[in-house]
Amino acid sequence: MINKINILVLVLLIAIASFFVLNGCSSDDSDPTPSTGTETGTDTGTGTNTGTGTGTGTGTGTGTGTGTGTNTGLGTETGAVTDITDSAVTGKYLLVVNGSGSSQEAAESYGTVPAPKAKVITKKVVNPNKKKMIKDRAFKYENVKEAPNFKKKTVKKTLTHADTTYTFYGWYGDETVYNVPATLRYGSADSKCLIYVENGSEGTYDWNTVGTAFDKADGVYSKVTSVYGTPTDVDSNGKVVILYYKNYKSAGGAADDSTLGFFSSADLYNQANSNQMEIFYMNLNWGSPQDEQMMRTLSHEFQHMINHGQRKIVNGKTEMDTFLDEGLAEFAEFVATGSFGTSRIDTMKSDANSKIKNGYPLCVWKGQDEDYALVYTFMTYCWAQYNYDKTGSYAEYSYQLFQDMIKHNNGDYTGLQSILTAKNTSFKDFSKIVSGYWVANLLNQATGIYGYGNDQTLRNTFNLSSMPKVSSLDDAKELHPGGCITIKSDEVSSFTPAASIGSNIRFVRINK
Amino acid sequence: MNKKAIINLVITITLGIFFIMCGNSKQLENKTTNAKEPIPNNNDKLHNKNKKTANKEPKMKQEYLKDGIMQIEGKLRLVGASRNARLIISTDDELDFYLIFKDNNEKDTFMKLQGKRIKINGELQIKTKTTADDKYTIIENELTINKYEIVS
Repeated sequence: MINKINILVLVLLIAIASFFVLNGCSSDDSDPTPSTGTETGTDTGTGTNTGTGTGTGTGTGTGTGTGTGTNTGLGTETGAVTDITDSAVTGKYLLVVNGSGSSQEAAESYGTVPAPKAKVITKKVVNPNKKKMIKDRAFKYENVKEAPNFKKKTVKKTLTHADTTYTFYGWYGDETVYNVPATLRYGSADSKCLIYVENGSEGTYDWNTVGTAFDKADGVYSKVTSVYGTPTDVDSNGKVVILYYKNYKSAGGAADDSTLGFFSSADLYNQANSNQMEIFYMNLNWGSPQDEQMMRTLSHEFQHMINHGQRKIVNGKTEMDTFLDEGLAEFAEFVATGSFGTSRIDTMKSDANSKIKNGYPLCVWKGQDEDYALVYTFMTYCWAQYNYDKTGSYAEYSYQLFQDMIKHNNGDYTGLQSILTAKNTSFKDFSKIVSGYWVANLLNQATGIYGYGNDQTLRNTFNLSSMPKVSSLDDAKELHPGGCITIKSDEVSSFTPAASIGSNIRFVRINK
Repeated sequence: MNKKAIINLVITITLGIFFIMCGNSKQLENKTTNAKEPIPNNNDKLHNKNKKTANKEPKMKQEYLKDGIMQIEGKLRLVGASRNARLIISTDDELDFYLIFKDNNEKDTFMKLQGKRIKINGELQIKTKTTADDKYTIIENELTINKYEIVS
């Protein structure tokens, strides 16, 4: 009997011991191990959370950067003047920057500044015959007119490679919906894309080359998704549909030859006139599908698709500001091709319409060539500055900046500000990032925040020293957000800001 | 009951308790892993199967609604891919209101006010959109403008 009681007590003790041992083990498991993964971004502040953080979501990450920038001010206060000396630049300059990122149309006064005394640098028009390169165009999905012979149809929910013909919805520029009968030119059971071409527009193009560029292991799909995330799959086919069209007409009835392609988020939803699938559109009136710019545009439109899907649909976040969404889309072209391209950089260098040098705003989207050029170079600058601590080739630079932007709660400039200021502590706020960008376009220094990173090739590619710099001052003396004017004059030495200027206006003086 | 039987019983019970506790431990481990998951991989069909993810429910503050009319204050933003972009008001409590314009003139007026902080008095329509596969429901607050005032 005693033996039995002893044994029962032993069982009880073992059970209790097991409970405590295992419970203890469970507690350990629930204690998150520091991760090298990305934090999920509930941080809404201006810079305690880092892209390389060790936190698990609320951002207690540890900044790794100490900054290599040499400046100490860069005008984080209204009316401050930051002085920089650079012997590689001849003359004295004053840059006036509106450091707001609020995509604010309303301009801010910068007060009285010295008049530019130097001759305006003759514009060197790079690639003068360059066509307009607009990506994305307006689409309305409600209250549209119907083209003659338009037929409403039942949308097929899941297109496959077996659907060799299909009629899509399309829209003319005067917001008339029309039918786009098309034929499958590329696609298989395993492909990531299905390429349809509007009937009568097939040409003699090599559609297999286009499709393969999207599909291959190191192609558009693979590279863009590795940085920005995966698209939705609302039609459950695991594929992206690319529709090449030609018969679109603008509101005036003319063919559209300035738009390369576009994406419309409405196509992802269950609503009238939506194609109800992951689809973007490419314009054969602009050029051959194998044209370099057309090929780059595949990545651009694909980024828009992913951005909307990841932010709004999957994660229920606010949509991204247009100038940032476009910046990520422009950069996606580099991500996919490994080439920085020349067209946007040429636009910066030429400034053929003298808009950029006269304060064309980075952060107010107007949909012109200049907008694309500005957001592309700005996003590249941010990427280089995010990787300021890398000493190797830009090929080794991290894309974490863009991954964090897609995930960040804030879809406006404060998201970018939070991520970049935390990683590169040379930046105090967004105004400093914008000011640094404009100074980099002038000085292009080898290290620090006044250049496009430490890699020589990157710096050479984004060397905008031939860009027209000297602004024509207008009477209004105002700048929109992200805009910058440059004054070259010996009188900048004695310049002091006027008393009454906009709160976002910053001054950077070079070679006082 | 002989000794051998008792020892067998003890071992069985002990192992039973051990496996039960291990099961609990595993559950805790899974829970922690999910909590750390940074972003759903929506290409994973299993992950999304039969799942509907709604964005933030519009938890309207009572003071927003007066006599059936919405009164909100927030920042005017242009969002989304170019030319398909839309103007929204983002309030301080992170609600987005998509503006519905009566005509192009009204839209042009607001395009020029991007980034401004604006008070708007208007009629609210809560629109529910579903993705084509019905997996995700998106709630959009749409606001038709009656009056507005630029705050800053």
